[in-house]
Amino acid sequence: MPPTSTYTEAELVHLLRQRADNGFNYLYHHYSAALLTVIRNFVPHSPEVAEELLQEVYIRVFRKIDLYDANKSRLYTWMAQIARNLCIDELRKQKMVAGSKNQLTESDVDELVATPAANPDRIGMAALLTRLPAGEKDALTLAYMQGHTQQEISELLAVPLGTVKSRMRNGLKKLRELIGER
Amino acid sequence: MTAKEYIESGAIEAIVMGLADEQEVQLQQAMELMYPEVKEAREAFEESLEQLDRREANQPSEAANQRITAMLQQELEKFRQIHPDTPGSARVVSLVSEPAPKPIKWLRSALAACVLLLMGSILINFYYFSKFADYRTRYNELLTQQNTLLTRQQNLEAQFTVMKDPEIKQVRMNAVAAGAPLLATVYWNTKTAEVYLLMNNMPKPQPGKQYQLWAQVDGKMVDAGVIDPNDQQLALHKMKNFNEAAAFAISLENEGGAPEPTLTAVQVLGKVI
Repeated sequence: MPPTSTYTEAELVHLLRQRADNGFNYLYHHYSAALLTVIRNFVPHSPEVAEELLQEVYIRVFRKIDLYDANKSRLYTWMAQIARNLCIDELRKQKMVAGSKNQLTESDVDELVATPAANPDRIGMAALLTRLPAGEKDALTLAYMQGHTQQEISELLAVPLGTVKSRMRNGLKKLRELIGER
Repeated sequence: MTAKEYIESGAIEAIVMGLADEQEVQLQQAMELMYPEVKEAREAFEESLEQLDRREANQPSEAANQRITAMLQQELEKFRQIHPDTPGSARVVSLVSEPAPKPIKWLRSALAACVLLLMGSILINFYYFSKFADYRTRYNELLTQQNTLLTRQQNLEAQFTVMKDPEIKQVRMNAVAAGAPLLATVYWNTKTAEVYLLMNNMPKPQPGKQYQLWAQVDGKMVDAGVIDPNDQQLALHKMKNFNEAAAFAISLENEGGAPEPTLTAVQVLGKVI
């Protein structure tokens, strides 16, 4: 049953650390839709897989709640990061099963050239990334969607490390504007 | 770099999206301590990303809702079995027994009830006292932590003043052994000849050993000072002054340092560009 009260972030974190029923109940009902959006950035075509990943996110949040540091980020950012890491691991597992080596595969290239017209089901951050200029989109997609380090991106795209850094920074500045527009 | 420049640089967006490395995270934390507007900008971006995710209507299915809330309930119960003093798991234990039904012995039963109540009260006192002791310890820990943080903040502010001086030349010293994640940085004021060292990522030396900084002058390695292994943390060390240097390096020597570097023990090296 959805809870009727609302909590400030500090109150909610306190309830969660106390392992109170209403804390986790609220956490689920208030954040599950937003977290599902994050997950569907990564697995847009599989709603069942997305819901399994959502369950895993909540298990991890429950077990790691004592590690959450309110000075470093807000609660949602921390949970969204857990969700993103889980999705990246899941996609890597799927890739290994498919037998590809650590170089750009066809699906990577598809990912990189995706335009809004080609992928109408792109949502949230994934949709915004497709609106960036090519160089910045490639770098940020490899970093955000696949969890590659700047060094790996430099090798994958065959550009200098400095170029990767500046493309990512410029891309992030543009993302901020795009988000502010809406 | 001013707070405004930092906020415009895209660094905050990288942090919030999980794309920053350890150094960038530490810089962010330092900037937030020094400039409240940096923290505000970070929180504002976090909120806008949350709103972005909420904009799409992605409600989980009813089946998923039930499955996940049931799973969370299971996790809670497992947790409470392992941690029985969790506040959320209060169990009510009856402290007062039913009075004996025999009317003649009601006094004895009343006495038994009083003794039980007293025992209960004593137990509760022990419980609250241990809670109090626990909170007092935690409070003291927080005070200590706060002092440490204040000192750290002062150090960071001082470092920042040095690092942003335009006369400063930054010399990055990377690992000599390929792939080793070592890093140290020299901040050299070419005008005043002052040399500062930041040990970004250098493991603590074994007992009896000490890191030593060297400057390459006219083709020879000159001693630039040793680093106290107990004071290695992220703080600027002031080393010896140098008017000229073509490169800097750090080697691992015996405690007390050496007159010349042990070439096989050089850890990191950087040329002055």
